[in-house]
Parts: sequence; C-alpha cells; structure tokens
Amino acid sequence: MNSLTLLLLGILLFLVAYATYGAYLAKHWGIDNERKTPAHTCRDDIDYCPANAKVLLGHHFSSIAGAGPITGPIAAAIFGWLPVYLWIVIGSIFVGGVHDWGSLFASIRHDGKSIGEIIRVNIGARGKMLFNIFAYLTLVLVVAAFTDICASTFAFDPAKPELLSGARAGTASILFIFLAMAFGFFVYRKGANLTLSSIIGVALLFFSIWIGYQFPILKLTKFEWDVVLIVYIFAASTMPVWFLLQPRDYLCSFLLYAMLAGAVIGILIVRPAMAIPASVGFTIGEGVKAQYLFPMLFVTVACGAISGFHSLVGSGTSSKQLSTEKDTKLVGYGAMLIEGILAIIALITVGYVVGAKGTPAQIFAGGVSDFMSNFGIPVSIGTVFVILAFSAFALTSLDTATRLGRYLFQEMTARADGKKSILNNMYVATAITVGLSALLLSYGYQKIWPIFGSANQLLAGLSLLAVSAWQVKRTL
Amino acid sequence: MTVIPMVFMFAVTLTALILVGRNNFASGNFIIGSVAAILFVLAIILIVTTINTFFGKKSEKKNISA
Repeated sequence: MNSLTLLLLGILLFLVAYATYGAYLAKHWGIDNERKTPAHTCRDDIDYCPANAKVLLGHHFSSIAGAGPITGPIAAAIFGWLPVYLWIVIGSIFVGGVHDWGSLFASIRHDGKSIGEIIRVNIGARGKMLFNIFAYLTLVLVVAAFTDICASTFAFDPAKPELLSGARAGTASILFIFLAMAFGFFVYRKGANLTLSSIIGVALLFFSIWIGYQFPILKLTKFEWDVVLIVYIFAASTMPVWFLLQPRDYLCSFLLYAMLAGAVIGILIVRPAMAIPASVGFTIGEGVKAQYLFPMLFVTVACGAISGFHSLVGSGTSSKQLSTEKDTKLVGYGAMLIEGILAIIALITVGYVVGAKGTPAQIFAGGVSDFMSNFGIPVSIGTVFVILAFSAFALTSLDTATRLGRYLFQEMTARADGKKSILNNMYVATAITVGLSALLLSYGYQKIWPIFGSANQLLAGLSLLAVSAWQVKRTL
Repeated sequence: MTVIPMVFMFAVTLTALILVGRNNFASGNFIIGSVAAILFVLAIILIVTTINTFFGKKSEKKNISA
C-alpha cells in the first residue's frame, strides 16, 4: 500500500466527517449560536475571556497534541499498519472527536466548569469527588512527566559541548514566551489587527528559531531547566490566559501546522510505500510479556484517536474562552481530526522503512526530515525543526496541564457557601499543584508512569460517561 | 452518539487494567499493580453510581412521585 493513498484517504474521510457527521451532531446536540457562552456570562479576563475561534483552535490543538499522537502510532505499529490506521481514522471521527466536542459542549452548558461538576449535577456529589481526585492526580503526574521530558530535551551536557540541539530548542522556546506576551498585549490591550499580528507573530516565531539556532546561549543543565520550567508553568497558570498561555499556544500551533504541511508535501513528492506488514495477528509475544491487539492498541494509540486528557483541556481552558457555541465544532471536533492527520503521518514515518530504530521522537523526526529534504530542506535543519516542534508540543501541553490542575484544585476546595478560602486562592492552588509535581519528579514519577496510558483512557471513558449522563438528563 | 464510544472505552480500559494489574503483580511490581487495582475499583464505583442514579430505587421513587 502506498502511504500517499493512506494519507489522502484519511484527510478526505476527516473532511467528509467534519461536514456530515459534524453537522448531524451539531443538530442532534442542539448547538445554539444565539446562546451566550461562559466566556461572556462569567467574563473576568483572567480565566474567562472570549477568543477568536482560530486563536482558540491553535491553543486547543497545541494543548491536546502532546507527544501522544506521535509516540502512540509508532509504538503500536508492532501490530501492523492496518489496525493502527483503522483505529486512527474511525477513532478520531466516531470516538475521540465525539468525546472532545461533547466534553467541550457539556462544559459550556455548565458555566465552563469541569467534567467533575458535570458529574455532580447529573450523577452525584460522590462521583464528582472521585473523578476530580483521579483527574487531579493524573494531571500532577502529567506535569511531572512533561517537565522532565522538556527539561531533558533542552538540557546541555558540558561533557558533549558539540551537541547543541537542546540549547537551540531551549533558547528558541524561551524567546517564544516573550513573543507571546507581546502578541497578547498588542492584540488584547492595544486592539491590534489579528491577521496582521499573526503574520508578524509567525515571522518573529521563525526568527526566534533562527536566533536559537545561531546563538544557543541558554546552556543550562537538566536541573536548571527543571527550575526554569517550574517558574514558567507557575506564571502560565496564574497570569491572565490572554497574556501568555493562549497566545503562546496559538503562535506555537503555526509551528505544528508548518511541520504538518512540510510532511504532507514531502509525502506527496516521495510517495513511499508501506514497508512494514499490514497486520501481524492478534497476539505479539508470550507469557506476561504478551501484547494483545485488544485492548493494547486502543490504549497505546491515545491522542491520535481518543485521549482523556483532551476532555480536561476542553472542559478547562477552552470552554472558558469560547465566544460562540458554533465554535465548539471547529475547536472540539476540528482539532481532534487535525490530530488524526498528525497520527497518520507518524504511522507513515515508522511504516515506510522496515525496522526503524530509535525513540519514537527520533523515528518521527528522521522520517519527516527525510520527506522534507525532497523539496530542498536539508535533513540536518529539518531534524532540528521537527525536534523543536516536538518539544513545543510537550511544552504547550505542560503549561495547559498546570493551569487545569489549578482549576481542579480550586474546584475541589471551593466552599459550599461560596466564601473564599486560602486553598481556593489561585496562587496557593498553583503552588500546591506545581509543588506536588516537583515532589513526584524528585521521587521518581517513572515508577507509576507505565500506568498512565490506561489511566488516561479511563479518564476518556469517565468523561464520556459524564457527557452521556447529561445528554440523557436533557431528554428526560 | 456518546454511549457506544463510552461502552467501548470502558471495555478497553477495564480489560487493560486487569492485564496490567495481573502482569505487574506476577512480576513483583506491586506499586503499578496496586494503582491498576485502585483505578479498576474507581471505574466500577462510578459506573455503578451512574446506573443507580438512572435506574436505581431512588430514581424509581422520584419517577413515581413525579
């Protein structure tokens, strides 16, 4: 099978699904464009703040697209490319897309509150407490893991001074932060034109990459990066969402779109055939190490088909910024389908050569840079660009996860009489969330990280339970 | 629209948690095995709570009184 066919068929099916199944769902759920969203009714310009749909799509997409859509399909390719491909396409359209959009829509009909609150209203208070504790601990684990991943990516090893890819990516990523704050200030406080600001912002984004590549001045150790990242996520969690988190995610999304476009053009030119087998059977390995297609395929390919983390983003930062209910389709459903395309590309990068070696990130970077080299981008520069985009995925998920953890902590410690408490304070909630993650990072989050895949998919199941319960209640 | 995906995802995760728990207990990794067991119980509690909310005795009484 030619990979170009797989890619184009996938894109075509996603477009058809967006136009048809998306329209059906919008009608079935009763999307009401006249109804005011929480971004307007609860506006505080810190967490609740109406945003342009395209800006919010950028924030949502780059937040949900952690490392998962790349690592998942590459790891699951041991089952052959066909089951992975089918799960990505069918899962994104009928499972993940519905889950993401449903969570987002349910949240805006509950004042932009979390899935836990939707459970409280429609199932009961005990359900909310259990879900929120589970979701919060999962987020603490995510913050610890992604801090570690980002710090490891950016770290400079004085013993190997010739290796500068980490320092380059780290320097560029810090420049993105200041660029995002300038973008947020000019767009939201000075009323700068969004299109013009986006063009200038994207140009400066790529200029920042060039500066990082030419002048990798931030040669910090992993521990120093841990500290820098902890300071950054604290700021991203507490500053007004329009000032740092949302514009940074929005601008970084162009990095991701550029990588996607580069990979698609490269595949159009190269048209590599899938070299790995289409299917290798239901079971791989023996004994306790045996891997079964069901359920492992559906746990391993998470972000590329369905991921519980998406529901936390949808019912967390995104639902508080949606300007109209109509935008839920583009942000909730559209972002998931774009992520499906990314997952297909990841599958192609591992499938066009037999026995691809290295980590999933290296396989992906090697494949995409190889494709891009066919239209003039040298492999060395292409690899740095893809690694930078990969770290941008991780960092945008990290800052959003911290803010989501803060929301959940505040929701869990909110007093029934509505009065303020010290634990409910934004800074205290962030400090506790970041502190717990730092503790987990120090004491070895890796001990429980292998359970994350199952926990994440359980989150997805529980979010679908909450949305289903709400839908049933609406019809009673 | 959400019920079939929900049932499928519960089938996936509950099976996965059983396998992860069994494999880790068998290989002596009690931390992950225990976390898998806790998550399994959590999922069952939430599923049972939901079923009781919609089909339980309290729900029936409410329907009758309504």
